[in-house]
Amino acid sequence: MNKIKGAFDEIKASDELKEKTISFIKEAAKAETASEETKENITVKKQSKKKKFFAPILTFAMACIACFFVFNIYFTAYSYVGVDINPSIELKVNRFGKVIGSHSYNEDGRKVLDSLNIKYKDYEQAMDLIYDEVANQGYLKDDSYIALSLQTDNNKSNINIEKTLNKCTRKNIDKHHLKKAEYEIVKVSGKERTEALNAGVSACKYKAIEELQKYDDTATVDKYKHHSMREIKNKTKECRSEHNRQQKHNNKTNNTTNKQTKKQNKQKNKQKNHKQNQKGHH
Amino acid sequence: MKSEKQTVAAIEKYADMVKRICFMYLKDEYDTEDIFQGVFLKYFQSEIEFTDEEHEKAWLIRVSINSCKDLVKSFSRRQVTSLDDVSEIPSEVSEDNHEIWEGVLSLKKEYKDVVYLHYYEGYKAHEIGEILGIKENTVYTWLARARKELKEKLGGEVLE
Repeated sequence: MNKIKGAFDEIKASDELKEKTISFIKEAAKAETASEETKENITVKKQSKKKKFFAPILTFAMACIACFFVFNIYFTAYSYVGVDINPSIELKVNRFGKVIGSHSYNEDGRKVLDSLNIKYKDYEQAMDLIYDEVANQGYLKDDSYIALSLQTDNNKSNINIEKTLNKCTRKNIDKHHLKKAEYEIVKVSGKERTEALNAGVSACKYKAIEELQKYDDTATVDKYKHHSMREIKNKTKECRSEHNRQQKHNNKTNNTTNKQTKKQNKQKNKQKNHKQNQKGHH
Repeated sequence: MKSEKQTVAAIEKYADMVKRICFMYLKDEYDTEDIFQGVFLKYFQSEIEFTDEEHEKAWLIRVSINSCKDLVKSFSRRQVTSLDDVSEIPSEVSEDNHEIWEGVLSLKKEYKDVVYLHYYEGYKAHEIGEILGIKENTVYTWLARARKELKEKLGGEVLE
């Protein structure tokens, strides 16, 4: 066997890569089924024949409408991608995957966006630039918690964008040698994003504070809006542990109280029976 | 469109082959994963009825090579340094084969394709021509040039 064959033989796809791909295909199959069902619900109207009296004017009008339509499509937001570390930024992305707008939720986010020119770039390229700038400005730490949010109404796009964000974030975590960094991608609905916007925070921070509120009644959006994601996550972990510990303690106390009550009731019944027996004798 | 079952079977059968092709073009594991999944997604979504296994395999090889080339092209369009330019050999290659891979990876991309398809997959020149969409004579020329370069870098025994 020639040595080149031997060298090529060494290269194999790992089980992890195969399993990830199989899961990806299964998700794509589900998305395909969902989109087929949507297509069946759309009714196609038959267009009536139009008279060709004003053909040139009509052609010009159609061309104007087409340009307006294309222009509109290009500048219509198709999805929103948020990234929150402490700089809190959101990208408005069109259906072609281009960034058509960006928004910062805090001063740190504003500083990052002011240093970059990401408009009309691919959102993946924009994310790479954002990560680099966030690192340059010293916001990316070894144990940073990177929260990403994704809002889009199309299931198929959701899968693709999520995959790209996963790949981009992992690549950048490795690139900047962030050994203890963690990240999550949160899918949000339009309604949740609007609620977050109204509260003045990114969708991922809003969801993180909601999670904290399950274990800490005193937590509010205003109190935590300027905290980093890492701080909020650590606080949630702390409060959740305390909450679980408290629950366990309450369960134990309830069990002890129940046992004592049962014992007391048993003694009362014994005394009652004894009195009754005595009456019976007399 | 293929069924989920057919696609999973294709993944089990051709995963190593697709990985090898990606390996020749991309050393970044994230790009490899991306292209790898993209190739099998295209397989899943394709309407082509394969006449036989050879047809299916050749289709996958063509799609893998084209996907890798498109990604490498996009690096130069975005003026991002392609990791293809970085001469680091990934860790999955054993020490014994380091030199061979250095030799193969340093070839022009057209030569890499014909070397892989001929010396590893065992395709003949006319078959390689059909897969890559080039003339048989071009395949012979590229193979000869690739052989010459590899001999100069690695010695004659490597191709025996």
